[in-house]
Amino acid sequence: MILCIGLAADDTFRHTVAAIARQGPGVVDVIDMAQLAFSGTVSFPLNELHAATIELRGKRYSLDRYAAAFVRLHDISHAAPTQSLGVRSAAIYRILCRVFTYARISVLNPPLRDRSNFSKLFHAAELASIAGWRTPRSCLTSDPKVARAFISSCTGGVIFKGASGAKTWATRYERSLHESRLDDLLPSCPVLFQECIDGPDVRAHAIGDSLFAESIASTKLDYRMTRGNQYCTIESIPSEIRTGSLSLQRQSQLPFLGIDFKIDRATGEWFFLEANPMPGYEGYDRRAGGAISEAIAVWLRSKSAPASAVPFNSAL
Amino acid sequence: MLAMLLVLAPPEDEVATRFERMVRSRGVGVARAAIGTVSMQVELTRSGTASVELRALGARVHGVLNRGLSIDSESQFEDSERLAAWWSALAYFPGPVVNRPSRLGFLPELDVLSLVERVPNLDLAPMHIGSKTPPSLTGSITNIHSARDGRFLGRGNLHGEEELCLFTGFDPERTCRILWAGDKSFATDIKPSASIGAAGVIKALGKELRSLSATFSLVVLQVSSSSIELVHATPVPNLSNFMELEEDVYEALLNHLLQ
Repeated sequence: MILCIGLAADDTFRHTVAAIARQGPGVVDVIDMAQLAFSGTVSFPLNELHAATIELRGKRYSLDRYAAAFVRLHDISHAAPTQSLGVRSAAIYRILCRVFTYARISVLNPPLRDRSNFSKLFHAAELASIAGWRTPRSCLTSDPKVARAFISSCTGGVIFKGASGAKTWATRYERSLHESRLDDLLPSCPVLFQECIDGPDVRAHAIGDSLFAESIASTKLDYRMTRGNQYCTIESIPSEIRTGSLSLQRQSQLPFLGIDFKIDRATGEWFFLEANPMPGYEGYDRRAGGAISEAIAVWLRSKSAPASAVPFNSAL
Repeated sequence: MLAMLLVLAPPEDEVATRFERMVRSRGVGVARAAIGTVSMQVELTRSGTASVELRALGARVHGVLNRGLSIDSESQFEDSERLAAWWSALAYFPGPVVNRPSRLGFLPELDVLSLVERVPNLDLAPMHIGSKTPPSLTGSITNIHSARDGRFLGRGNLHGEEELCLFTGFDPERTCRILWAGDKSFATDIKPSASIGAAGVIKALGKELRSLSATFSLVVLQVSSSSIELVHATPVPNLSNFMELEEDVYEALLNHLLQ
């Protein structure tokens, strides 16, 4: 059996659950975090995590019934209509993160295995080193003089963006627009500057030992800002990207990653930007004819079969 | 001045304030990380080599004590950006950092579930997350922590607004506290008869904490002749955890930061 926990309001969660359900009848149980926060109960003996139970709408879910789980957790406490529901919702989020990181079942993805996404420069440096990839030159600073020196050293231009995982748009640095603001803004809040890599973006989805990649040509610097992008499947993914992805999945104990790259148009070189353990991937999946979600479902199904019911860290 | 040290901590952190005072009394420069006092530079090459320089009050920073930063809901974006910047800076800072950030967290991740998985012969004290004291803990002394943020809520029965809590059963006669500070460890309340059996586990625990860069951390153990159980672990000990050892603990932290 496969347990799925996430938000019914989350398109990616619903999309994935539908793919898992297509594996056959009676293979999946689904829990909506919002409903759980509103009216469910949890009982987790930490000494015996396999005996953890959730009760919701008259149904009892015991963790020992499941060999694999798909979890896509969100902290929705800020949107709770009452303070007490917010407190309860935040607690449930934190409990589920812990339980599904340390429970002895195969989880896609264990929520607390890698929190480096919170800090973009650190994240890029750590993961690039594991995978053996290169990453754009970057400078994170609160010092306007340092920022100016870095900007001058980047002959191909510079972009800047937020340092944290909070959503910000990558923006091209233009001296006429931004130079005068450096002295005021940087000392109170460091900014991440990065050399501009001129060329298409790539989003790759790694699941188990499968890798799906699309190049994205956009009229905007940050392709997420527009709908008119051109997506094109990359048929021949460089071998170092394949092997690096596998290394990253294994070392991080994260079977599913959405990985972003830039390709230098002039040299063809790939540069790693970031890897997201909870990617919104359904647009890519639809263009791939459902291959990504099917690979996710197959991975979960393979882990839930009795013969291979082992924790994730023992096998990809 | 011998060196400049930096302390990262929420404004209300009493331990950080008292540590700063002690450091200053030794003639060592120290600054609390705050807007305008610190200049930060983190650079990353294409091959992934990171270099960091921190300057506080104009002087190059030699070592950093990390006690975490709070995020205010009123200035969430800016606070998150600053925290993320500190995360990168401290992870690659070339000098000593007490509680260096890692991929697992800005502060060392000391989840009891992870520690008992990684330290041989260390078991978990009876712990339960739920909305009421479980039958298995009825009759025993029970600590109650918030399941939301880990705050200690009290002992015995649940009350207040928290509906979901962590209940930990323990025997005060058998608990002891081990505090790691820099390169030293301090044990309190440990009975000589129990210390021999626990020594191996405590040594392995110390090794694990060092591998997690938890160089200022507190662990509470429950020791008997047949088992050593983990009751609590935190990378942010508060003053009540080491009041009787305060001078020695700060000395150990200072020595570590001046290496």
